[in-house]
Amino acid sequence: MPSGAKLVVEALRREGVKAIFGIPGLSNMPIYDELIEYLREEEIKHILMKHEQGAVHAADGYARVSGSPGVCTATSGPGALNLVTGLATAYWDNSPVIAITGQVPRASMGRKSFQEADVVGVMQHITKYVVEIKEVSEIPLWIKNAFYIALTGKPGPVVVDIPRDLLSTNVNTVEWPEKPVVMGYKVFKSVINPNDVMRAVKILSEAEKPIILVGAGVFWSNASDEVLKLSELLVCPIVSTLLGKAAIPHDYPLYLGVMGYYGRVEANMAFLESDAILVVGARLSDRTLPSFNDLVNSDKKLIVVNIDPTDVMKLPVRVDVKIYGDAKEVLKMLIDAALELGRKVGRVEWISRVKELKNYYSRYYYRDDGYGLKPWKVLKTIRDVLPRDAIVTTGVGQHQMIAMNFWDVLEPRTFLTSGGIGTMGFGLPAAIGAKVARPDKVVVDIDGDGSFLMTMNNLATTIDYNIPVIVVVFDNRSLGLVRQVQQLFFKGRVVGVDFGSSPDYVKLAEGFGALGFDVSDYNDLRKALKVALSEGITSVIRVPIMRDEYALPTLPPGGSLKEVIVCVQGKNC
Amino acid sequence: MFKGRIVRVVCYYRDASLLEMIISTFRKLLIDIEWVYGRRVSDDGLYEVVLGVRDSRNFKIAVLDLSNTVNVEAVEVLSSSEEGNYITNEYVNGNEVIKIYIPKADIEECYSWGEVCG
Repeated sequence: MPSGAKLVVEALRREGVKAIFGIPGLSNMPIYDELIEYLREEEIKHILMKHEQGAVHAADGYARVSGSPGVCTATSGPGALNLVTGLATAYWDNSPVIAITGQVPRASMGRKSFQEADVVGVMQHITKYVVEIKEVSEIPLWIKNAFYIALTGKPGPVVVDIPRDLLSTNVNTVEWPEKPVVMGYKVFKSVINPNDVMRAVKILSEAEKPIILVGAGVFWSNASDEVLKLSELLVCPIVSTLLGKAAIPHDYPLYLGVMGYYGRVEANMAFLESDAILVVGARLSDRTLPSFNDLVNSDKKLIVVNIDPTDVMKLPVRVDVKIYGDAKEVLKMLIDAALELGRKVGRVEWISRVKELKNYYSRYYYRDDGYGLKPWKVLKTIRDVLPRDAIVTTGVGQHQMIAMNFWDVLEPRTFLTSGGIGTMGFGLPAAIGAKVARPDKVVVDIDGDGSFLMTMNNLATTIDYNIPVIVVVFDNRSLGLVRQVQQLFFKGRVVGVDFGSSPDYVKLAEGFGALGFDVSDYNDLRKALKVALSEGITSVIRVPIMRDEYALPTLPPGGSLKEVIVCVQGKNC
Repeated sequence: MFKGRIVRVVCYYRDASLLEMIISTFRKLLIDIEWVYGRRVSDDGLYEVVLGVRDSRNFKIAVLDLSNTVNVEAVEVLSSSEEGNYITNEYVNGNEVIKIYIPKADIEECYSWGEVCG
């Protein structure tokens, strides 16, 4: 007679789960007890993280790299509550994460019992769904449902909360469901009208200055090849959102970079100057388009492809063609329509204008006054050493904005970052998840000192489980992005952002059993990376960055793309 | 006198968090709720929850968000020519009687998982 806990583990195995990131505690302990057999048989791996936030980010990183749901587990109360930030991160970025949380026994509920917390109440606002299990017999169905909900439609995290007494209850018979059953849940219908597809292609063909804006939907539907093909056929430059960056190889000549708040000026300018825009898999968030006035007061033709029609219905601008469906499917139809139309497009002037923008603004980006290491040059040095398919994660802050603009993604799905909600501390645990999903790949966390220090305790996990990742810490002894905003928009009143001399990153790394490097020039960095790669041990490379380096371009808070700040006097002007 | 918007949510009950989700969808967008009425309408757990909410610039976003919420089958925005108090208490022969008026309303808009319905 299997227990509820056995049903949980067996249901996870049946869903194809290969790895669970978690921390055991009183309320999820029965699950661990059943997991032992699966660990012995090497059917499932368990990776003990050092904080539940790390567990959920690792599951998220695993999901983003593999495309399969990442699974994490935590005990009740503080364990489950520590998942909150990571679940919100996954929700904002549409990452399919499954969290299995233990709950206090039903008889203890409502008494402020030890490690009791209202997981449903807390999680329902930051996940795609959370379910409290009421009967042991429901477990197989709800694990199946959780995977179904997490993966379909717009992907997202799902929490299954299970009272401990149910985990320990045995059942006589088990019904393994063949299909999920979720009342009141529907997968978005593809509504692809061939006339709309042809109309979209005609608009793009007839336009003088068309552009494609690529969002995370292209990443999640593995539609990189299709979007490049369409761009080639229509001679249409591409810009992207931060998350869409991971879908486009940056050596594609018509890619201009990430647009938006801290985006490349040439990407923003091309967006502004364009006369027709195809938005694929992007919801036009406030980071991508800080002010809708940039669209409202224009006569651009707007074509939007999105799996979620309500994202389009929410847009406060006129949309000329709306196509609801999976990015890959729609892009294939757009390609077919473009081939059928067979119109030859040259666009010499537009392409030359785009190149002109690219060249013009490069003069502001790639400067080296010899004063400290330049972040763009640090990234270029790393790129030159790493293989083309290396996976890079980031934390959140100045280094992230710099990586957004100056890290060259060369293969799809090799750039992971917390784009939607901006969670500091994402980088290292996400790198762990990525490495577990793809042990054959080099995985590097490009992090800021502030961000890295939030979850760096998980270095211990990389050593204990032989999950070698490389962490490059941009160390400016400051919360650099906040400092920059204070300097630029709070009259230089810098407060609460500067760190002291602690920690020593080399000693910190060594204390965890990792390799530590302190580099002082680009050559040092190159050497450190090569040693880290050849040793195959987790390594922390500290790169000193001057505190007054800015992440540019930027916009004033709430500003229009037209108000871009390309350079600051005394910095790069 | 209620002069706001009337929303009918057709949804499946799994647990009471369903009501929290419906209410918080408006709360998160700073929309005040004037009254709520709900009842089970089928044996398989289908419920209807009718809310009177203050009009707001965020109203459409709330309706669309709610229409994409797991366990919610559809969200209808109702129009009613009847203005007034939909839930009243009166005294009849010394006893308090709570009256719930279900507005005879037309469906103005209806959304269900990205589809415009009704």
